[in-house]
Amino acid sequence: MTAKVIEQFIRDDLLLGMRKEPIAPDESLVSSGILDSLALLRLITFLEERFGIAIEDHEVLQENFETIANMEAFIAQKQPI
Amino acid sequence: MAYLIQHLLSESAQRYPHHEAARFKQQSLTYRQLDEITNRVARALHREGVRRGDRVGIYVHKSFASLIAIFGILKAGAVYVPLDPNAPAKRLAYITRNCDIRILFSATNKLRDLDAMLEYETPIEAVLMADQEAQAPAQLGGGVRVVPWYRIMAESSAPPPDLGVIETDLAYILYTSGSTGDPKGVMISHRTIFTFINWCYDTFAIEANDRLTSHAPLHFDLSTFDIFVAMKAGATVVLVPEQLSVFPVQLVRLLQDERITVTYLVPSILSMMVNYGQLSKHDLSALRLVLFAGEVFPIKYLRALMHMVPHPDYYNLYGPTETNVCTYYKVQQSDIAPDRTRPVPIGKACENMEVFAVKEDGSLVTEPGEEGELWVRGSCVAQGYWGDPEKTARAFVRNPYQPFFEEVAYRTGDIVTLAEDRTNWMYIGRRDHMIKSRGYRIELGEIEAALYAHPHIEEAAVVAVPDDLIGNRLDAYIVPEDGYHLSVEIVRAHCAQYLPHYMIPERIELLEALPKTSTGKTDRTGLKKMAVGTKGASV
Repeated sequence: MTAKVIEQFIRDDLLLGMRKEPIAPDESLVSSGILDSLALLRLITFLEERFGIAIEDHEVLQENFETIANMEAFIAQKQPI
Repeated sequence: MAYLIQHLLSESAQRYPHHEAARFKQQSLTYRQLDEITNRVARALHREGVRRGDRVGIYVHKSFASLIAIFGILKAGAVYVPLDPNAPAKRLAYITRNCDIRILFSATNKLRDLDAMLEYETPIEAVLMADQEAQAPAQLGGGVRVVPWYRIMAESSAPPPDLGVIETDLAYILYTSGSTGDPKGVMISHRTIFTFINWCYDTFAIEANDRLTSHAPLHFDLSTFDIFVAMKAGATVVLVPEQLSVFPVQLVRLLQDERITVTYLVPSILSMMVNYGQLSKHDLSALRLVLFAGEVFPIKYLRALMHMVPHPDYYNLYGPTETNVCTYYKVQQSDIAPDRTRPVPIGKACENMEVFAVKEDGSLVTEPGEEGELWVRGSCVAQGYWGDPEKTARAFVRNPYQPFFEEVAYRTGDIVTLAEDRTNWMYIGRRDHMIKSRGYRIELGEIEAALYAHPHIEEAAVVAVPDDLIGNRLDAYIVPEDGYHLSVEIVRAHCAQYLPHYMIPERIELLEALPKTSTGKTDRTGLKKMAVGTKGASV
């Protein structure tokens, strides 16, 4: 569910519908050039609002944002159960 | 005698064979290893038919392959042409046609993009693959041959034959955006880059135990400082993975963990580090020199940076790709005084280079406060634009102040003024960023400086949108400080405190961040497109 929401945001809002094929959960968003510093800031704002979490500067790391799967795991660990 | 840029590597390999030349993701390459690998690459290029002066493309993400390609190509007597690994295929295919790139140095992780590039018309005949476990196909689209890494490594590691290259031959071509839409290739000779490297080496006293970052992509001229100065000094260059520009904390951590002593970055990246990098929580005690260039550094971030990391020397370097760096300025404490809003000067000419400013009437700026276009002369000036004598003739002109012999000077298009000290130059703005609105002369940089003076404006950019009625309309794009609520009314009232009414932006838009180009600068072209796109809607 989380993965779908993130993918949707990336395709609609960051890539403005330019990408036709789906984004695999383990595809690197950084080396493929999808995420740059500007896109990352927008993505963080989106995740904070959508999932009701606060993302600290020191958590903005490659291991948390490299792929959609990384983000999903990161959000799951941030959300209260 | 070192007179070609590749000699720097070979000489350091003699002196410091076991010293780390480069580091990337905790791995290292010694001077001897780099020297021998690049000998093999040069020989492989010769086998593919590369001759003196041929252009060879580099199409890789920042890694050891970047260094191996640069020095392999130079040792083959050829000219290297870095292709932006993230640029659209169409633009890259244009570059390969423009300077006739027949051989390309690439890697398996670019195979998909290579296929996309080869769908366009291109002269590429063969691609050398830079990775060891390459499972590349034998051929790519259109019958382009693939030379796998093991074939390169099968070549002899002895120096390749000398093809008689001399210092006035080209070393590399850097493509920059052209005002007409197609990129233009700035041609740099060995002598031109040597002038810069020698100056850096002396001025910044780079030594074998220095550790420099290599952050800028190869197609950006900042990259030449890190790589070539390190090679000259026998120092270590730490290649920064491209991904780290996106994650400021990781970039700061790299500076700490790799004990970096010298770093050369664009102001936007330094500003990101100030805002999100947790600088004060890291140990940057090894850092002795911070150089920045490429755009104006908003004084409030420079101030914050120098407060958080007070011990290094800070230098503002200035120069378009066409001259590399031509002026420099060591930042003083007084430049970052709390009441100061004006950016630091671009400084005075580097040793062995001369700059002067020409007023609109053709006379030279001699008094403080006078404004003129900055011209540059000396062997730091590029050889022109590849295959474009017209554009070359417009910017690389005969120096009218040298009556005794013909000499080329470069017109930067940058407007500067002489500071009160009669020594340093102050950057005012682009000749083509100077716009007129309602008949008034307006510098967009001045409006931006006023916006940055607001304590809760994090980033600001102003673009001029052509308008039939008033000449130009001004649009401002503002990024408020995190968590701070700014309204258009507040910003407008703030502007009214600093600017005459004709300089207050008509449209003010609040954004979460400003778009950036691949080299990390504010993407003004993108903003302008946004502004033009919304033209009718704002009225």
